[in-house]
Amino acid sequence: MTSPIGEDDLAAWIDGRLSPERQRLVDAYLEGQPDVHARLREQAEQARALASLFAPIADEPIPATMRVAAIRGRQRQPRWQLAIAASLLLAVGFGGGWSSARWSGEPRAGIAALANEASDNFRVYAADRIRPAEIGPDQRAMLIRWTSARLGERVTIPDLSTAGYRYGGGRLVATPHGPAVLLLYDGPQASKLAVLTRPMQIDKSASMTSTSSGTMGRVTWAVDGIGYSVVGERPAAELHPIADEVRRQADAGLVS
Amino acid sequence: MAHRAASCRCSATEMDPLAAAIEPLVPGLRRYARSWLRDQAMADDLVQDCLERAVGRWRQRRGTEVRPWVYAILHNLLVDHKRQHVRRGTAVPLHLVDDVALGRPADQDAGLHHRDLLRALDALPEEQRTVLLLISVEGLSYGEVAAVVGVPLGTVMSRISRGRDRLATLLREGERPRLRSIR
Repeated sequence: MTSPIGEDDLAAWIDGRLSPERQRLVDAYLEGQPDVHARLREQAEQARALASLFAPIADEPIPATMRVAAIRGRQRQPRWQLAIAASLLLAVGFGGGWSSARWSGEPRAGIAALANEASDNFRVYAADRIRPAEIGPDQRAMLIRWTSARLGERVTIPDLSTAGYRYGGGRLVATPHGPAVLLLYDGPQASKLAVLTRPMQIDKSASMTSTSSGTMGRVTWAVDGIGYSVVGERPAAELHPIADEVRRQADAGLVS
Repeated sequence: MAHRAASCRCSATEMDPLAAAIEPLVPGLRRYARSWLRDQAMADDLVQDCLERAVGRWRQRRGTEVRPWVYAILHNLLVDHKRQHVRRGTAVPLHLVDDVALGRPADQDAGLHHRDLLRALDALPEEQRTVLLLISVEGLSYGEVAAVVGVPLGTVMSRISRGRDRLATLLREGERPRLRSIR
């Protein structure tokens, strides 16, 4: 007894994935079913057309950023700096009565920590319907004066209107590394975005790193001792152009 | 901004095991992302994201086959991306893609017309289009596709059959599929 011809056999016939014995069986079946045979031949032709349509893409040289060595290099960098941060914390710990048991796997320094601070604050404040921002969008100067004084750095408010995001106010927030500024933005379809900025002790300069936390994407970097993290309910890849814009304006020293 | 240059990997013999397992998949992953998205830069961003995750989570893989595991990461990113874009109303039907975006000259006319093929592909339900692309274009086995999409093998087989019937009908009738309500 052989098992009857199934639609799975016919699909595998089209793809040329039948075992030799099954192939003989299906071929014999198709001899007696010219209509089915014609349909399968047509579909096999369409499958080949589909493959050749997209084939050229796979012939393109791959971007250098997609090399495993390049990815590893980027991923290793924060971890290496984290190790320094850890040793610093431990050194402080032994001097100041800290327990090393308090050290958990969570990054506590560098841009990895900044990214987590950004998503933690985003989670709390962007979802707030009553008072997400302490200082509203009409009082930019006041926010800049206040937060610049607290951070000891000149704070700028990036204009993200070209990316479809309107500045919705900001606030001073607490992080394990001192005060930081959280700037909130409103985008299309009630989407939210935030930029967290603070001075950096570790990772004074770090290239853009994309990470995610749950459904939140984060793009985080540091320039000249100031860290930035752009966070939103979107994949980090989509936040990247916005982060580029924030960096461009920050580098240019634009103040709104 | 200090950007670290990728260290030179001059010959395949120096390739470490992770690179040997993942890098050969990259051309196919880019092709799969591009078959979903019209925007090459966006497609490559998602592939990059996929690769970062694959490298970062390599040790959590626990014996799963590499190819379906990596394709599943990318597939999930594509599904999420599409869902968000449909919600925001920026998705563009596949058949409006430039031939250039698919990496081939516009006037190439091999058998089936590319634009007709893309239009028909675009008119398929997503679940049928997905298995069609993974099997006919990416050459994944039926079992691998089941693992990527997260459905039983029988479901893959019926989706591929229905998808091919539907594609053939669309192409034969030269039917101009209604644009699905994208926005």
